[in-house]
Amino acid sequence: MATQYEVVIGIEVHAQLSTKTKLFCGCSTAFGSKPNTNVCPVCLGMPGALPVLNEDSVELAIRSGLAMNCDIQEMSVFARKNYFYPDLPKGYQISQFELPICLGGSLAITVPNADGSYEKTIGITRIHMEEDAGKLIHQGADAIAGSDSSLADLNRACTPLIEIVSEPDIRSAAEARAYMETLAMIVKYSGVCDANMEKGNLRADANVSLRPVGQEEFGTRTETKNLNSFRSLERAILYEIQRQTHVLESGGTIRQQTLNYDDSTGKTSVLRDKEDAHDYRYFPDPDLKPLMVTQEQISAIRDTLPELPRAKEARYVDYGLNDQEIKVLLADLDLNAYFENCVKAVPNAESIKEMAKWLVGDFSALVNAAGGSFDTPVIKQDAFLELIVLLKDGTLSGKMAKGILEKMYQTGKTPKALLESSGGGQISDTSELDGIVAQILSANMDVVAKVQGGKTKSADFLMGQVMKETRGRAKPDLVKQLIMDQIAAL
Amino acid sequence: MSISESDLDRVLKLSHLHIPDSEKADYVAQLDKVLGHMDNINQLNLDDLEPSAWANATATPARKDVVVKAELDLETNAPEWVDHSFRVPSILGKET
Repeated sequence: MATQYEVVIGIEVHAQLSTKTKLFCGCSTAFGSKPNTNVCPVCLGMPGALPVLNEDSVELAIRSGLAMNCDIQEMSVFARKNYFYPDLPKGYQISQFELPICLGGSLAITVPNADGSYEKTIGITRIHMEEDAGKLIHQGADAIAGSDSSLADLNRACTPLIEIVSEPDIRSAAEARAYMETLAMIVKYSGVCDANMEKGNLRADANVSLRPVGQEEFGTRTETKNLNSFRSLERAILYEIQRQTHVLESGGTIRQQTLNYDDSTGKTSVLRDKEDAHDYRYFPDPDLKPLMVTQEQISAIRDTLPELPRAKEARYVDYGLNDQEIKVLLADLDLNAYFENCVKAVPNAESIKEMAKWLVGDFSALVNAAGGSFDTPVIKQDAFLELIVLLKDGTLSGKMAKGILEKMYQTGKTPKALLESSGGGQISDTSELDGIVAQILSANMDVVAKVQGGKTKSADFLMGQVMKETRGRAKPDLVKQLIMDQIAAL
Repeated sequence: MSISESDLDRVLKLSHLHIPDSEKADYVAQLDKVLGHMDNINQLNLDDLEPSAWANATATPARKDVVVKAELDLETNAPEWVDHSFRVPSILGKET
């Protein structure tokens, strides 16, 4: 029987900290600036320039550690990781090696499977702080191979990153994706990182190895670098599992290598033979003394940690929201803040469900269609809540509310103001509707005959006529009831 | 302290240096002498001292997260300046 293999995965995530300036100098971290405009002697690696640590980056690194249940170290040390490459003009990257700022955390994940989902906890080995490198654009070819020169943009050099290193606890591509998605949400909600993968401020390296089922010892691993979407991460791992399985089953051995993943072909290729730590000749950076934090500082940061996505999710389930609503409400930080403010204003379960439904549905559709955001919403919270009240008390039908919401979005007016200018809300007064129904029936006796003949579906036409007459304001259930009652009495 | 030829080979690999095999024994002997000095240093009693990379291991100072714009004349100083970027020679050698 062929050997069965178990996959072992560990993930390293680089997250850019949400600071205004770089890790060791006052240059801006703004994305999309003209090349080499956010640079100074420190990040250009000019001789004699000395790094000075950004205090906000330390706070954010500690926040990330607390959000992932790590032990925050009172003393950590910046080290030089030496390598020679034009994206790093100093000749070394300032990172943390032997003494990182956070050790030993964990992350609880929910992994979808054929039976629904299962829960798992992934260990976090460490979180350390480091500076990013610059960006190279290779000239004369699509890639580095074959290019005749490269253009270096050092705007990104020295931007603050944390590297979050997981334990090799992950056992499938689906678990890797769930881990990465959970981690992205946590760094986003704790204010550590914008987690915008398109802008590259969250990227993952996947260490993948196989071992025969039952074997304790790990197999040789490969590291696939710079996976910048959840999909790429999952696909690259699936490919690598398949590739390694094929190599092992053909009697070959896996080489410890660093790989690049090409999303267009869905394949990995070799970047270089993997280095070990000693290749980088790490040593403590003599330009930076140890980073010291006190228990008081750690406690103060802990006190400002917001409610994290998993706790929010549990609360939303208690509200009775469905999976899709919860997913959408958690995916966008601004939408989530809008929803939470509404919940604070009207903490009533029925209203919350209604708010969630409209926020996730029609309101989001309007915002998305207009390319807007919930950060600066056209429809203010009070106006939206007024709409929910009008829906709940029956003044508005769902259909009317949809129309009103659109007009609110176009004009910025409140629902009450719009209702007044359009002649009022939903008609739910029988006496007011009775006459209109009678009038429509007498004008459409042929249709009435069909209904009497058993074609009850034809009543929909009559209902449509009543709605038209009342400009959509009649309460649909009531109209239907009146139509059937009046036909029965004919 | 004694170093072997395989230690030397590892150092040569890391530093991208090449030494003819015939000269390796000399280098091993010389390095052994240099590193042998560590044996002298090891005689010091350091029981009460924590290892440190700094003469004075107080906490590193930190700065506020405030943007400071640097004024630099990069174009004049860069060896090659193209599209507001530093142009560097090809990174990978040509395949032979």
